Amino acid sequence: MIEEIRGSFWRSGLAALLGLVAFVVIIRLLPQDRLQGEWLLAAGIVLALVPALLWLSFFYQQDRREPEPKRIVFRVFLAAAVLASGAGLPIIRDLFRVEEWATGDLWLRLAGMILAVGFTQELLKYAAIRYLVFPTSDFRTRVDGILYGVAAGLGYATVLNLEYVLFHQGVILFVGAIHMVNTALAQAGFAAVTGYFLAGAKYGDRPIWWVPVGLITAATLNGVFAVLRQEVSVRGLSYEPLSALMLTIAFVAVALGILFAMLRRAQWRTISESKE
Amino acid sequence: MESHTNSRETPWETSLRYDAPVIALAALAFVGIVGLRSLVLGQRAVFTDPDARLSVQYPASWTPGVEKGSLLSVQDLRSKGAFKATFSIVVKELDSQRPIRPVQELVVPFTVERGRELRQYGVLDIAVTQVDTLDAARITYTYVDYPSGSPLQSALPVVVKAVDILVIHGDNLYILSFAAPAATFAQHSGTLDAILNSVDLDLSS
Repeated sequence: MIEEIRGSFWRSGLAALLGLVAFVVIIRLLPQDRLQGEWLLAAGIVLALVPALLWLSFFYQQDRREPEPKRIVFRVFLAAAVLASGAGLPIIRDLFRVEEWATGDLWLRLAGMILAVGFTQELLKYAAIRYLVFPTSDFRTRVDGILYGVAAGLGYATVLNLEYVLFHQGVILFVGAIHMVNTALAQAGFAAVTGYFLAGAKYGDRPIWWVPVGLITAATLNGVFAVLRQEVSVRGLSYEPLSALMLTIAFVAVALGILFAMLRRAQWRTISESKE
Repeated sequence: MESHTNSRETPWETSLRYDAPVIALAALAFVGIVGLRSLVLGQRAVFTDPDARLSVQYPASWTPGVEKGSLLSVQDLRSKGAFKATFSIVVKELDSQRPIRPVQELVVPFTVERGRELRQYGVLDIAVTQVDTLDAARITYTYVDYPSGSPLQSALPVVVKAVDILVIHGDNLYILSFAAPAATFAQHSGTLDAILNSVDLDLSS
């Protein structure tokens, strides 16, 4: 049984990675300058949705033993998207005005990104899980915590990607695809951490600081990743998509590794507890 | 399926256990953000010119500007848009042969001169004010700026709102100018006030 689960992790993980790589490669092969105006905008909006669909299908594969109701997963996805659009973006952009002060010095940027961006985003994703699904019987296992976390992260990432497309009035397809895969992957990974800690708090005998530690971890990862992405991909006034892609691949490897370990550990616990 | 170890908790106890620490964390993060932001935006750089007998403080994050012939020119590169918020000080020598006039008498010729320099120049308001206890004239106006030299793309014209403060000190006319896009000018009013309140003219002689 365990071997079967472990095998499915790697197969579906590999499938998701190949799916994302194929997505980027297909976009690269498309003529980059044919689309203009409204068509470019429409293509960008479609691009913004693809990584979320890929990742959600990946995590459905992961949780095959106890598949969650698709409607609930979609609700969490939607709630996080609404919170991102209605609260996250305005708070970070208009209230905290991060761009005005969290610039220049590396440590200042890091602190600003963790505190203002990381905590805002992760708290909102936490809220989507905590108040929509956490108290219900649909939040049954530790694996569910990760799954709903990923759904919340993807909902948030989709709004970030849509905002990116709309702000730029369309994007260069290849650059946009990399950016969107990057954002979806990262946001899903951060929220999965929060979901894992939430599930641990519900089903384990955890101290009260357990969930805050999960949020601090997710927010720190979020802020560090934001600065790292900027450091790697921005050179002066130019944007280097290949550097961003390399960072994405590296982050995919690390994020998936951690997620696999978390999932495996969660499923081992589930099985061992069910035996007792 | 896992069992919920706290199934006997009341909703209030559940909320206290899960939400209270998170609310405390959110409050701490908020305090951290506000504190860090205030710290960064509150930092000031001091410009002193002994020859001009003047010193002024401006946000430390601002960088040298491009206005030629100015005693001081700084701009806020962090502000959004093609036109950046700018502050400058220009000093002009007054004709020492002529008696010193009230600064208000210089307003009309000054606005005429500005009108020749700037496109679509229009005065919004003229008021009396003070700079370091000296009487001064405050001229609020708008003009249209055509940003050029942007490496990324050609930029649209920007409607700029600006304030010129004219103050006479000794044989010199000091022109303190602050400009920002009209759409965001109100956001900079605190910065403008802080700069103007920090102006220190050497009144000893």
